[in-house]
Amino acid sequence: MKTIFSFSGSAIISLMAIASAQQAPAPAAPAAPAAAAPAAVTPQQAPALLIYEDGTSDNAFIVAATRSEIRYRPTPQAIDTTDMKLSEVQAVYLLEPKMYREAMEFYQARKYAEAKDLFVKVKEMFKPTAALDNNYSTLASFYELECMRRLGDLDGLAKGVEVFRKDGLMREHHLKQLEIYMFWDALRTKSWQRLVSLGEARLQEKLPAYQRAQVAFCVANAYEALKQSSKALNAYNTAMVADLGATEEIAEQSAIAIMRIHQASPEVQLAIKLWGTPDENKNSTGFLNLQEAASVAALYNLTLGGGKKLPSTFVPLLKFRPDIAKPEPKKPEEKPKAQ
Amino acid sequence: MNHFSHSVLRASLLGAGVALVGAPLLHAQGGSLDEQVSKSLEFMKTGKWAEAAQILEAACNRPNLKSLYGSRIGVLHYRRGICLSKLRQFDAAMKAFETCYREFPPNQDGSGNIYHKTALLKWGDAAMGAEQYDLAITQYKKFLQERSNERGKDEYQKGPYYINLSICYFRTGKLAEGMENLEIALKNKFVFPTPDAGIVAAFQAFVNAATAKGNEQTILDFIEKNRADIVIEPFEMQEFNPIFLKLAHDAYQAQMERAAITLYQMVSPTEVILDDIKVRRASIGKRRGVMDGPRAISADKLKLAEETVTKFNRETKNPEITQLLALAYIHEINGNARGAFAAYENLELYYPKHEKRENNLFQLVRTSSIIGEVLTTEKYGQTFLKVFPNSEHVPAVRRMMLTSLFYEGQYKKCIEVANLMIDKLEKGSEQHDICLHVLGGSHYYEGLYEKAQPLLDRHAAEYPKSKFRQASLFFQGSNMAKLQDFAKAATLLDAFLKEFPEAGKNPYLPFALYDRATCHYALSENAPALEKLDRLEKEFPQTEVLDLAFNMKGNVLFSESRNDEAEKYYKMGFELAKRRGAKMVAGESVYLLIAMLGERGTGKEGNPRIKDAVPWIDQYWKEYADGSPYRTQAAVAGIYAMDAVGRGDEGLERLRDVIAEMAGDPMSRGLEEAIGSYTEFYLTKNSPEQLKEHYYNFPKIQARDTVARALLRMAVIGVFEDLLKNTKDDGERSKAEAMIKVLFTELKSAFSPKDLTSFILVRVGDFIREKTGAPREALDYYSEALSRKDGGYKFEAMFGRADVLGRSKLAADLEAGIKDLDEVFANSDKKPQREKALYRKVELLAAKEDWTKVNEAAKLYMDRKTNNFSAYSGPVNMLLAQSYEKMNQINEAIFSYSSICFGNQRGAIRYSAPACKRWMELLWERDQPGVEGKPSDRQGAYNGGYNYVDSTRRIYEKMTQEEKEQWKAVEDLVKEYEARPGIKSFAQQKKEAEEARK
Repeated sequence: MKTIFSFSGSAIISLMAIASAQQAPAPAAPAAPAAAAPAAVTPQQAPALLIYEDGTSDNAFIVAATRSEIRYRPTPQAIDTTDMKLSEVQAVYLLEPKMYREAMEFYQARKYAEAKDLFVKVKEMFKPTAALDNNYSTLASFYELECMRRLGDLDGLAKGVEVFRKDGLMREHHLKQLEIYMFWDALRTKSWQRLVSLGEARLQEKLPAYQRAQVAFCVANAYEALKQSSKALNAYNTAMVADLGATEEIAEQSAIAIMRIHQASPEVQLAIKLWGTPDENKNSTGFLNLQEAASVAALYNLTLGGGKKLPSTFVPLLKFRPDIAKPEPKKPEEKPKAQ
Repeated sequence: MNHFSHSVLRASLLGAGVALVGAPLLHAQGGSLDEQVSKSLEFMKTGKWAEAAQILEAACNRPNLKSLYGSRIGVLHYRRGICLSKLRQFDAAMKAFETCYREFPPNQDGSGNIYHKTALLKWGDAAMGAEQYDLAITQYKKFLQERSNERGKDEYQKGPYYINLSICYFRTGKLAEGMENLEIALKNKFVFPTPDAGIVAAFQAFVNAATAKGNEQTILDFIEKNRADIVIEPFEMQEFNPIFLKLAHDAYQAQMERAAITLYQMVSPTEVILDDIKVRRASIGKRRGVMDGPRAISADKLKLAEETVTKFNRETKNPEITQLLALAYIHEINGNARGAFAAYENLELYYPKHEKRENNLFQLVRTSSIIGEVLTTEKYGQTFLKVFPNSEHVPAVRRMMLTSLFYEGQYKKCIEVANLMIDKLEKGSEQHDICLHVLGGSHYYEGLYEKAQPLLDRHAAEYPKSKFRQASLFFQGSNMAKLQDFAKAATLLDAFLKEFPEAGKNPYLPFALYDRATCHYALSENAPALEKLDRLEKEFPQTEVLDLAFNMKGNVLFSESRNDEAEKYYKMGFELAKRRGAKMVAGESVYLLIAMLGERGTGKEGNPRIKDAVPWIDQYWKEYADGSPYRTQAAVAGIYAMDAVGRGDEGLERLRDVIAEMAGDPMSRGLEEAIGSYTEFYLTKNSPEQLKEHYYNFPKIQARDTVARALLRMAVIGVFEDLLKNTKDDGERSKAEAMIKVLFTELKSAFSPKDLTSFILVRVGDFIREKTGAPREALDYYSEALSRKDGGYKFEAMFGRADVLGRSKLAADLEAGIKDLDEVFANSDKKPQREKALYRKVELLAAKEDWTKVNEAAKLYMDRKTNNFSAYSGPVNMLLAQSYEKMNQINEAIFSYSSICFGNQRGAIRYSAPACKRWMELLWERDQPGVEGKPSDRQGAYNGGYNYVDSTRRIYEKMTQEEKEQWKAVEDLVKEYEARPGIKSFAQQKKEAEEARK
């Protein structure tokens, strides 16, 4: 029977080797990787359920694991450990550690720095189970990368990705996210042409909305750097709408970029200069782009800013908002319906 | 019952199962009480609530129960309440719990009715089910006050308790209290624990309550504060996504856009949900479920959720679609059509199987058109037409594809697309109307005026009721003006202005006025030109063409020698263009100021203001020269002003650089003129020999710049030809003749016709033909060009050759020239070429004195329906009139002459004056008496001549010397006739008319 533990690769580290490695002095920390482990964290046994083919299960507290074997205690306090081949069980269900849950709470609350600290701890604490599928060390390590991304620490992210081991990461969208880091790295190294060619191709593929937003944002930055304003504007808008701005930092930065591009345009500057004068040309590109910029400024206040105040540089844009004739409330036929 | 209580019920049941163990047995109807209790418990355990309730009712109705069993009987009422709650008979349930609580208090030692306090909690639950929220709140609170804190007693589940309490508060509109209790449930969700389903239920009640109160900020603040606790794990979101979508939709309907977007953001993506479910299913193997901390993971629920998500995914009913549609709407309604476009593009890219794809794709085409993404409109428009050929949106999509391209100024693409479409569309259809309009308009904007005209004429004729009629008629008239058929353009523009006179309804009005002014100006009708330009200034101060209009007004005033006023308008044009960022027009204004102020001047004093041009020259070269089409003219126009301030070398150097720049582009226009001006100025300080030396080694001109080098050599030839023409010294003449001969020999050896491209051959040939005194030298170049099969420029060479031959006196040459011209006229696809060929043919036939053929060819030229020619109307009309005269058709000759001097050509004095004089003479000679109020021929000749002289006198100063002489000849003839007997002078006629009026 196929288990969730798939045997992969030739590098089977014996349990003995792991056990002795745990006794050995900790190696010197690598040259300041962002994901460097705090020395104070002690590896812990991971509470789990060993689930058998007949649906029955035993409690286990795993102290070490490879891709084919585990060593565990039947109770947390037991002195002796038991070794078991993974082929003897149908599944090993690792129970969610409290600290991981707390880290996720921070993450969902958009407190990425606090979340990152906890994820780093979880990563180290449960390293002994890192070879198992869906283990919390790897998951925490993954979310540590995500925290760095969302904090805009692209150097840290690049270093973290370099040492990240994806064994045990089971969710398809997590694995895809590892590929998306390539775009962030291209953004970090300002490889604009590469970003455009890779990004445009990737945007044709179906991605989870939050990843689409990331790719579009990176591509938009490239277009902006390459002075292709129109394409940059379109890509920033895609970044803003792809996940409805749920990735708040991308939505916010995209809105800022859109206003920045418009504001720097000589045509828009001329439209501002001529606004309300007899020379104003309401059909000019500058005028229309000015109104677009003003709309985004208003949307920034409405939602895109995520509660942040519109930067003072862009506040003057608000007065150029188009006259919007919003429909009366209660016109359901004109509005999208919930499914 | 819309609250969270199922797990609480189950816990109560289990507890109650123990409560009556050991109760004394008592026989009664339906069995003993003990049997009834046992049976009812069995039913409850298997979910048979109705059966259990019936038995418990019978048990409770037994007489003397309380006295027999005391407080313990309260348990039966409690159980009955549970069953009735399950059956949603909340009123009855409440009564059962009330009985349990009121009538069966526990014994003093606490034994007996163990559910006495819990009944309060359940009473609250039942009240909540009965939507008696205030009562529920009271009972919940009371339960908390009265329950025992003793371990194992009055246990309850805290999560559901606070959830239900908060829901009751929300339902009664008490937001603050509701939020307080919900936050207790949230903050302790891992401790109590609080189930996710309960959280969502309370959150839903909260949003509904806040939405009803229009309290958007409360929703936003609450989410911001409690985001982490409200976000549910993805594997459970299949169940809750629809709830969040509904809440967002309700918030949007209440015009709470921020809350709506925030709620939409809480929906989990399909891929993430599916991933999470699959991983969790695999992780529990064959277990039915796992309690992981506070989280219950059920195999059955996971299976059902996976099936549902997969089904929705397959059927393209993903929540992301609703989200994107909502966001598209929100962005567009807030003025950011580009955001809407991005959302629709996401829908098309990732959800092409959505049931509403037709509408989504249509919206994508529409929004891309709004933001001017022309190629995208085209791309998705094509997709739409292919996938939904029968959609009601097809006409709109077609229109947007073309009109989007058109209004974005993608005229080349428009021509490409419209050309492909036009023959496939049904004539008379709206699509054909649009296509024809766009095709004509695009040619117009691309400057392809000859191709545009028939299309625009056709649209005007075939679609008189088109919604594009206004634009189309404007293009038609304006295009005609661009073709420089000013007379016809004037007619069309006048008709347009008459049909659409209101500025508010005609956006083209100022442009039409500008074009009409151009026609007036070109036809020397200065007064009406000024009238149109004045209208533009007064009525359309915002029009885009006002700066250009100011420049033109300057030109008109300058042509009337009103230099101060002209300067004022040039400066106004400059200021306006500068303010509007129209650099090209500002550059034009500056150039015009340079040209006017920097005029060399005539007479001894010259131009007193010539130095005033210099600041403008400096400004032009500093700010406007880059990319300006006036570079050459500005360099030429400024050279004497620069010389006047001692900066002649700088001016000359600039002109030299412009010549060198142009030399790099063999197709550049104006090179000859620049070389001409350079030559003229250079010779003011240098000898022709020095010029020759200079031109043979012209700075910055490369060996590959063949055209420029040849033109410079020919300019030297021209200088010596002038010398030859003007000198009376025989020695000088001989030297000049010898030099010219040498120069031509050198030209031919340096630029052997065999080595030149056809274009250069024609250009060199044209220069020799037009600018030197030896036009026949050009024949070698034309013949070489014509000898090549694929060299191109055939008609240009043919025309050049015919022109040279036409200057000959030899009949054979003339005949050969006419043959070339016939071929050009018959086969060239360039209207100016055909027009000039026919005009030259008329001239050559006249040189041959073949008056019958002159008459035929001239009439062919003047036939507007066939050819629509007008550039040479003056000379051709003159030859037509002469041909009538030569053929002794005097009446026709008189009519032809009159059409020149009293028609559109009146301002062209070199034709109108001789025509007027000859008209007067012929009329005088015909000498027919006056009839029925019409004056006699002779009086008519005098009157006509007088009117002509009177109406053209004001432009006398603008006439060339030759024209002045021609004009004076008419004036003299008028005076001569006036002196003849029988002729009434104009003064006399006026006096008689006044007397008659009295």
